[in-house]
Amino acid sequence: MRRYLARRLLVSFGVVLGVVTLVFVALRSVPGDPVDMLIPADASGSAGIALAQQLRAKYGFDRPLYVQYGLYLSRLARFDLGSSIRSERSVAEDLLERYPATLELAVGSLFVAVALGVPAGILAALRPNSVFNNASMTLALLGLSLPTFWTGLSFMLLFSLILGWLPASGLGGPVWSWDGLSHLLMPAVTLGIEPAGVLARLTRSAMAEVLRENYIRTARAKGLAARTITIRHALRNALLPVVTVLGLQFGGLLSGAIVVETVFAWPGIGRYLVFGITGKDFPVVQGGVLVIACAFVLINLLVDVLYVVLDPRIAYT
Amino acid sequence: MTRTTRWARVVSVLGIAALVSALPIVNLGPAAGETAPQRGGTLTLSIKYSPTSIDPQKNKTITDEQVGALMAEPLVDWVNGSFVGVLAKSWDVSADGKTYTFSLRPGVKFQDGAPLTAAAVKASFERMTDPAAPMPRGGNLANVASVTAVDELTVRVSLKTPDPDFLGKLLQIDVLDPASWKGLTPDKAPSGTGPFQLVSYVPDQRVEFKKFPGYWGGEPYLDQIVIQVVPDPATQEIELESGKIDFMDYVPAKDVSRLQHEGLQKMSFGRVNWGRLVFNLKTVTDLQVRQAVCYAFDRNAVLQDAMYGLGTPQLTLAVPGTWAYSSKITPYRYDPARAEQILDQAGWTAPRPGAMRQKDGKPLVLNLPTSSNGDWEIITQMIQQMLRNVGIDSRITTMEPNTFYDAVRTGKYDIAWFETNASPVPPIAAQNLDTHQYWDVMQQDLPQVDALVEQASATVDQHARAELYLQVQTIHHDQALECTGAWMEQVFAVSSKVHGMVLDPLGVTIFSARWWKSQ
Repeated sequence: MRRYLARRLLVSFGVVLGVVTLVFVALRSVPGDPVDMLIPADASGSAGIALAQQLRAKYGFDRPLYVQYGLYLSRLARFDLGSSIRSERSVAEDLLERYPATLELAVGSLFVAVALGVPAGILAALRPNSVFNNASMTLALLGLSLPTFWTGLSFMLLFSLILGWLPASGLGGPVWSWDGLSHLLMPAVTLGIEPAGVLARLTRSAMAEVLRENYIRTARAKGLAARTITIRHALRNALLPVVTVLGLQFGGLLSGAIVVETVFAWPGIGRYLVFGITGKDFPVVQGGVLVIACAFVLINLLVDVLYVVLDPRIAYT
Repeated sequence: MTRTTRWARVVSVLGIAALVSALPIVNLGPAAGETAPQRGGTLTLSIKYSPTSIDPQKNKTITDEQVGALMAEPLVDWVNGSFVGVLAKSWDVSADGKTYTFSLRPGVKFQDGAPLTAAAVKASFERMTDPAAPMPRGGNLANVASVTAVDELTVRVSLKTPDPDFLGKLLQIDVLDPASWKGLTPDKAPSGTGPFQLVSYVPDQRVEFKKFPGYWGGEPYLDQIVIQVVPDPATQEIELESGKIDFMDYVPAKDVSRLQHEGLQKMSFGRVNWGRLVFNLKTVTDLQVRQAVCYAFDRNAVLQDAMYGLGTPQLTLAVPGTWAYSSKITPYRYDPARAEQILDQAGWTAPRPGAMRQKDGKPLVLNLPTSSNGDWEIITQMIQQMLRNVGIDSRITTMEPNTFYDAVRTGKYDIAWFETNASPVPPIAAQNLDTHQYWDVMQQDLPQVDALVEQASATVDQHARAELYLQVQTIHHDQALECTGAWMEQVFAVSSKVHGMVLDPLGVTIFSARWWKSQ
């Protein structure tokens, strides 16, 4: 297991390096100049051209690409992500400031997804052809298909404008306070609905399959309590595909939810990255993608380790 | 204390009465029967884009200026068509237009307690033009040869060439206390003379201010101003309607009349923001094609259908009613029949009715890129249809804004809808015709136009200047260098509880010491 982990970490390092290289090259091969956004439209005569030259020299954009890449990697090795071209703030500090918000929203929406999706899937599998099964699966389909900006704005209209219960935007205090929780509630539910739909349908089909297995029939014949059969025998085996998908979903949530972050003015990493992309703010995009790539790689590693816990037949060497 | 409370209550009752009688308030300024301003309260502003920097001298966007204007001030401002002194009490321009002497307002204090002096103005100007740390707005001072602190309260600015519009360039140059910008972290602001002091700045989230009681213009009415960053206009509108915020910027054109109907105040600015059809003169070389495009372009349809009537048709480069305007220019007005006639005469004909035009087997097709920025995309689609109606084919490519700007600037286009902001002086949209500037989109040197624009911008005599701009406009028209489009109107929405807000022509909310909120 230890050797497996060491190997995986090494591969992960390669993956992350590949990602940053790809982003570095991609950013520079797309037309558009990061300096454009800094030159006022009415910059008179030669003043704008002079400013552009000064800025290109300052950020090293006038040097050959391989030199820029070398400098980038050497700074990266020193954990220096550079500063934003637009705001001149340190990218590392910006990410540290925004990542907790993304993490809070990701965990919150994952909680919503699991709390809604998994029980709905189990109950639907236990009572196939029932009204509950049909209703929950229709709702799951609805959750999958509704665009998040629509759900978000509808929640906002109802809970902020009409009922006045919840704040419409922004990040509140700590999550354990009512201020923090009330700010998190709508974005977390909005974002959690889609993965809840996925999880409900997945759990239902996985459970239904497991429930037809011989060992379940044996357990029933032994006279075990229904709850024990469902939870200890069926659910544990049905969870394997669910955990895989959950890991991927969580990885996705950790990369920031652009639409939900925009609608609810949630100061997460998704919006930061989009702002970086539209402004061609190279250091911001590179830093943001690096963090996301690391999060994805780590989550996947965690999921693989979790398999061993869930299914003792799996062993990594 | 009791008296104050009672007085406050009377004021608030009167205030509410005034408010109810004035609903829906459309214009700003004191409403009929409005009482004396009330003190206290927090004003919450909602803006779409986070300020890129909290340092007022590092402003890059109108939002940056909006936020900076709370904390710091320029020497002069532009209100209702003329310059008014802010930190400058008065000023004097030499006859040759090369020397500007400013008398500073006495008794003005920076927020850190230091007095406003001529030396501080000089240092502030020098910080803006330091080549080692380029500032986006440093170019406004590129023509400055030297700044001299004549005495404690007199500053003399000498220019390299005469510039009658120099005051316009100072609108975006704030004066700061030189002692306050050393060793500054990005979340702290240097000290200005403005009515509000920075309390905290969290990028992408919020900026908080408290009043500066020592403000030279009198203690501000509001206790606090909170700025929230909310990128989605729909969310901003919900918060505005539910009373959680008092102000939202850039209302989508389609929602303006609805919000007005709900009693919110509309604050507009325009006339410095104009949209037009620009040509790549290197690829669209045929003058008759350009003229035909200008006749085929229906600016009124764009204004009515895409902008919901927010804006004014722009027929010539100069703003009507100003000294730069001349009735000698006959503008291109929407006339598709004329466009077709010109194309026919130029040999661009359609092989069969309804088909796109061609000449010597070469199809007439223009590359028409646009920015994914909502309105531009719709306007561009309308333009495509207008061109199609006269037999000109075009290909739209939608790009993200930065890529689009770069494509137009570097000539990867034939024709495009393009909007520009500019200083309110001179009152003519001619600055962009200078082909030696960074944002030259025409892709071709026009030495005659450059010389005229340069000469006009350095001519002090207004009559002579108007003559020069007339020549510029004549060439612009005869050569169909662009098709003029519209002066675009931008709208902010403000709660009816807020009073005294004023916009400068660029859309920056100014004079915040006089804003007040009825409780």
